[in-house]
Parts: sequence; C-alpha cells; structure tokens
Amino acid sequence: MNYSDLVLYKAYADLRIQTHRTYAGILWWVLEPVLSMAVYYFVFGVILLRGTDPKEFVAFLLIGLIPFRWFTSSISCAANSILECRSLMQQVYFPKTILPMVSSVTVTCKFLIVFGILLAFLWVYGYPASLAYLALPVVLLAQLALILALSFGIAGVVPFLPDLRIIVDTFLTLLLFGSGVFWDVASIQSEQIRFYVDLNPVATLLTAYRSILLHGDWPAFAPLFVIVAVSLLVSLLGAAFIRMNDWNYPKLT
Amino acid sequence: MPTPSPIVSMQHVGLRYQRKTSIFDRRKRDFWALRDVSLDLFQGETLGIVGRNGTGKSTLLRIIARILRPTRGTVAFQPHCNATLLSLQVGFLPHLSGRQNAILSGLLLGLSRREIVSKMDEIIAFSELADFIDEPLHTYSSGMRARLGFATAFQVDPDLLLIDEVLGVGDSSFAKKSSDALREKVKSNKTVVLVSHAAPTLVELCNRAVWIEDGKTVLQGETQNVLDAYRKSWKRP
Repeated sequence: MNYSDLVLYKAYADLRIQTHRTYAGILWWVLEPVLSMAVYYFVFGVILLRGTDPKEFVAFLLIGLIPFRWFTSSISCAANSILECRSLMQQVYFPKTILPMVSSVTVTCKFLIVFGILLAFLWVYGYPASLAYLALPVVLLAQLALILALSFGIAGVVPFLPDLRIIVDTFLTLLLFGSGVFWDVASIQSEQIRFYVDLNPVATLLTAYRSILLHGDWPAFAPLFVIVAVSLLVSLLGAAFIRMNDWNYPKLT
Repeated sequence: MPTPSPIVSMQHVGLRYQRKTSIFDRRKRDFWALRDVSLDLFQGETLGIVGRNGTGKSTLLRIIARILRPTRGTVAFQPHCNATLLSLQVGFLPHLSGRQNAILSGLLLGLSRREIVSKMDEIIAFSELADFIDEPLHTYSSGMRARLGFATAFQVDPDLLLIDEVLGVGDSSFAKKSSDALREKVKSNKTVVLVSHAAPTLVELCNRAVWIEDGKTVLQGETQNVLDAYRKSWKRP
C-alpha cells in the first residue's frame, strides 16, 4: 500500500488547521519571525550595541532566525507526532514512520513560503541575487536531512520516555544561543569555543545561508556534505527504530 | 465433508497494554486486556462476540484488524485477507470541510485518493449532506457528522469486516437506513465479526457466537446456545 497520499493530505489538513486557529491566520507565518527579529534587534542592536551596520543587522537576524525556526518547529512538532496520534492508531493501522514525516512536511511547507518572502525582501532591501544562489538547494537539503534525522529519532523515543520533550526544549534554547542566530560565529576569539561551535551543524548551516544571501559568496561545501551524509545515516537508524516498535506504540497507554 | 481452512485462526492469544510508570511509582501497572483467546473464523460466516464491558472484545477486533499484534499466542491470517474495522469519523478534523474530512478519513481507512474521489457522489448522497459537504465540519450537528462518518466508512469494502457495536447511527430515520445498509452487507457472502450487546441482532445476523469473559474464551458455538449460557451467567452472583 502507498502511504504518500496520506502523508501529503494529512500535512495539508494540518496546515489548514493551523491557519484557521488564529484571526490573522496565514499572516502569522510572516509576522512571527518579523516580531522576534524586532525583539533581538532591540536587545542586541539597541541595548548591547551589537551590529555596527543597522541595515545589515536586520538582514543578518532574519537570515538566522527564519531557518532556525524551521529547525526548532520541526523538532518540537516531531517530538509530539507519535504521542499525539495514540487514539488514531487504535482505530486504523498505518506505519508510524509516517507521523514524523507528516510533521516535517507541514513545517517545511510553511518554511518554504516564508523563505520565499525573505528572498524577495532581501532583493528589495539591497541584497540582490547572485550566482552563489545556485548553492542554496544544497544548504536547504542539508538542513532538511538534519531535520529528518532528529525528527525520526526523537519522535520514536518520546512515546516511551515523554520526559525527553523537556530535555529537547532545553536543548533547543541552548542551540538558539550556540548557533549564532543573533551573533556571528566568526567573531569568536577563543579557539576552544570555536572548535565546539564548528561541531554544531545548525551554526554551519546559518553561516552558509549568510555567506550566500548577504555576501554572495559560495558556502564551504565540505561541512554541508558531512551533514547530509551523517543525517541520512541517522534518519535510517531512526526510521528503523520506529519500524521495530511499530506494534508497541499502540500498546502504550 | 472436509473442513475448510479458516481465514483467521487464533491460538491462545493474549495482549498486554503497557501503562506508563514513573520513578516515583514502581508498581507493576501492565494490564492484560486479553489473556487466552482461541477461535477460528471461516470464509463467509458472521461471527458474533458477546461479553461484558471491558472483557477485551474491542481489543480482540483490533487484533483481527491487524491494528494490534498479540503479546503472546499466535494469529494466522489467510494470505491476502484484508480486514477492516468499521471506524466511524476516524481522523475527522473540525476545521476541514466535509469533503476534505471524507478524503482524509478514507485515506486512513485504506482507500486510495482516486477511489474516494470517485465515490464522493455516493458519500454525499448517502449522508444526505448535499451542499453542506463543502462547509467546515465544526458547523455540523452531531447527527450530520455521524452521517458523514458512516457514509465514508461504508465505502470501504474489505474481505473481512469488523463491526464494534455500530449498526445504525444518527437520527431515527438515518439509523434505520444505515443499519439496513450494513445488515445487507453483513448478510451477503462477506465474512463479518460483530460485537454487539443486542441479542436479537446477534441471533438474526450471526451463524456462530463466541463468549469472552475476563479476556478468555468461555464458550463458542451456535449463537442461541452461547447467548443462553451467557445470560445464565448473569444470574449467578
């Protein structure tokens, strides 16, 4: 049996529901990142006097925040994806691996729309498209692979250990500070800290987005390929774990 | 006369649900919904299941529907036998239209998107929703929702149909219509397992019945005999 129709239709249904939950609906997809950009701009640009060029700092923050939110929303949604569908899996059979896939498709669709608007904004704002844009699909795919890897793993374990969700939330906060969302990882002086930040794939991805979109430079490809390779391997392991427990999830009450 | 091979054969089946534990509560919380059930199901027959609430009847149907896999014992299915539990309103979401909910529910029940779209006119006609089909589900009355749920689930046509106490739904006229449609399906040459508390329904529809008590098969055989024995057990303290 082919479950791709179910994944796509369920994702479409979830997106529709999200837009119907609030008065401004779909507008929030754009307003939310703009509002948090304003908060970070105020704290880091105005109070702490970071970012010497205010115009560039706005673009810098948006390019950091929008892909970062794609990452965090994906992980939080995936963490709940199997747990949330407990009653559904008592009524019909479906492979549980589709649940983190649905949540990833949903969040990714939202991101792609917002990312498109970001690109349009940057062109108008004074950062025109360059040849380096050709590398964007590689960065996007690397991030998607990373998201899938973590989504499968976390979604599979949370039903057995719901406490993991709290740990994941804390970890995402740490990532917000450790990935250079509102500061440039290149500004780190300490060699030792620099070493650890370089190990953080999210920091690598954000640096790649900025080098393409802000500076029109090619990103460093080697770390991106490492992210893709490791992520694909971890995704397969995570999916195998969920498949192994396919019949155990409905028995957890 | 050679006995035909059963399409589903269960031997000493038990199923345990795992309850969540915490480090502050180390009591054993696991719960056996089924302990020891053995039964055979043959092509074309309608098997009734009786028993008190909470004795594992629904869990048994879910095992036959391959939603759950037993913790112990064996279940053998004839190859290519597709079994579906008649689940009404499965996956329904309030902000989607009736049509979108029918598609989502149908996909979950195992229909392809093309099949559902081709049956949409039938679903609309059977559910009597007419133009309401494109209105969001949260504007529906519970009766309308029940009609849509039934009309959608009724489109699934498996070899083995599993029914858990739902024959008719909605207001009295729709209840009769839906129950008649389902009875017709049950009486055709389809294999059916029916859980019900209504003795007349069981006698009317079932060739055989199984009595389940406390997760175990107590008796199986001719419907009337099983029902009589089951009823007698009530009188004992």
